[in-house]
Amino acid sequence: MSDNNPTQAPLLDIQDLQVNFHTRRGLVRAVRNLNLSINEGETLALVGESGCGKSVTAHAITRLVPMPPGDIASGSILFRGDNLLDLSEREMRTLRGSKISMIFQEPMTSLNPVFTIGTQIAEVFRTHTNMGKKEAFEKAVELLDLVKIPAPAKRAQSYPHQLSGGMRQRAMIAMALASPEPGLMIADEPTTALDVTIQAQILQLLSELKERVGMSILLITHDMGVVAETADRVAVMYAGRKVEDAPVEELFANPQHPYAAGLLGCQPSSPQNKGAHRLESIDGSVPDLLSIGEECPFSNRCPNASDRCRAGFPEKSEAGPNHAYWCHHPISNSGVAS
Amino acid sequence: MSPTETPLLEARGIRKHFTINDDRGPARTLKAVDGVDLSIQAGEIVGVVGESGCGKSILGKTILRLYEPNDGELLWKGEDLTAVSGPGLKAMRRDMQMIFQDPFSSLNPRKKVHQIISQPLRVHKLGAPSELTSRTEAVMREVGINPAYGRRYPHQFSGGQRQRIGIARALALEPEFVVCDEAVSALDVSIQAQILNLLLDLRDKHGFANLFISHDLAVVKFIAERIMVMYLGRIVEQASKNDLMAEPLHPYTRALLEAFPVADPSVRHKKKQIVVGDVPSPMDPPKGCHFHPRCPLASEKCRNEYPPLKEAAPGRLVACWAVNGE
Repeated sequence: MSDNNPTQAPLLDIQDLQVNFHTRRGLVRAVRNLNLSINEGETLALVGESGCGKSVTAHAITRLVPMPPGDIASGSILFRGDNLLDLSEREMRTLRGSKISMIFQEPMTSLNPVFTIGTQIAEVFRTHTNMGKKEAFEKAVELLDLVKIPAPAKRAQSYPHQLSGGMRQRAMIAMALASPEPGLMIADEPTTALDVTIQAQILQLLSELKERVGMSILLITHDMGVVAETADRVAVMYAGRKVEDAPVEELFANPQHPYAAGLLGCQPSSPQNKGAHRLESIDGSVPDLLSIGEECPFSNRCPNASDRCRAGFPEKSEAGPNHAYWCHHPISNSGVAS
Repeated sequence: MSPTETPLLEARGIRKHFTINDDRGPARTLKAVDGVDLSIQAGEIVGVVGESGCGKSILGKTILRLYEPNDGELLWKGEDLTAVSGPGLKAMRRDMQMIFQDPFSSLNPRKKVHQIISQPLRVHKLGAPSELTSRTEAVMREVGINPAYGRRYPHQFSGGQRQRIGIARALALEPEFVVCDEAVSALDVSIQAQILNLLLDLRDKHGFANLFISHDLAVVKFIAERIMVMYLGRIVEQASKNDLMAEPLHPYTRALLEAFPVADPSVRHKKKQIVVGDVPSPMDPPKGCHFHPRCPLASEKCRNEYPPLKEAAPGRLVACWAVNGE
């Protein structure tokens, strides 16, 4: 699934993306020099803690970064070869919800409370095709059935507040699929607000649908358990920078960046913590984004940090096929600087 | 747990019901906590795990009498806690503290940190002003906050540091019992690990008992010695951590464990048995065993009668007809 087939261009290819926010306190560099690609049919997990830039990246892809105060300072985002940053707002609007769709953490706030969910899903068809009202509604019911909402015809008549959190998230997913050719689904913390038994149902549904519809998923999450169960490949971000990018098994077995390793180590559910009396932890906290210069942003918390790390952000190194990291002092020194 | 020892805190048949009187028809009863037994020994960490609406937070607040229980007994070192009030209750509360989920709303934004932490000492009139300062600084050092920051306000700290301040406030009185209500749920995972380690270090040093309430099974499994699983107001299973993890008995516990994402991609292809359906509304729980509509083992009896919490194996309590038989 995640084999980087060199003959096939990636579905999404982000090159050197910089997103800044001009705030009253100064310039916040939320995403810095980001290169990221997603292949056809791949689930890429973008992982990191609050403020690392993972949601801003998603908003940049859909061009939903509020400008001002936001500013996509440089870079390109190629989707099937077209640079999304060059498209007009009108062209972008035809893409959103059809080829690129998004689901969010809190389905209650992303659904319109005054329309039934059937109407809201049908609206997507009506916006992107010239389907009639009745036909679009029937398609909406089909989609509700596809996302396994029981009694879909009846549920299509419900308003968002009449559904449970899990059902609302299913409705959101149905809406994201309401397109003749779904290409990329961006799922921003899709299960964070849900109970764990419901989370398992939604994750299973997403995996099934991905196979069935043949779409790619950009999964944004902070939960390494969710990553382990759903992703093909993982990109770890820290304070605006990508620090490691690897296939999922490879990252969990052989993390190179001390932050990626620390993030795995401090998860109570990770196998290495079985029977442990204390969790591995990363000392300190994420620095203020305003105060980060050219240094490695993790250098103030990193056990391996040296003057080199404080002098500048490292170049890309490779630990194996498709496994890249950005660190002067990786966990194992087998990596070859490129 | 030797049965001869008086538990630090014991609850018998605790019930907390709320009357919901809104404009959606006649008044209804929400049985948030519906007959829970619980006992905690000195220094023990007991985890309570369950999904939203299962009543775990209300349980935590009710045993501290932040909510008055509708029914049931609460014994603090063998003494009836429900009978005391006024100064007696205040004196008892010195030994019971709480750490909250949200480090933003649980600290007064208009007070400086040293005032927040020393407030409990002042409320209980412990120590002269000079002593207050030294005690406040000592407890700040213990939780890893530089005492020089005492004159700052809560908003000047990060979420993790604020949670440390909340812990310092709870520990200032050197309580014997602390309720942690989702104490690490709002924190990023690297900070969560710091706080969990800190709680364990402080427990080892001061020996307080801890009722650790969380929806996160991985966290509870890490920190607790004994685990209680709650579903719609009742305890469905209770066991030592090792027993529960080795072999969960109640179908709901099994479902929870199965649903929980494991941070290990090598086990993902094992086919999961995911429990179907939603958690029913606690306002209108299913008749009989509350879990029966989602349970793969449900029988006719489960649909009609709630199973009692019975000993299924030494030290293990389960409320399930399929496990306990008739």
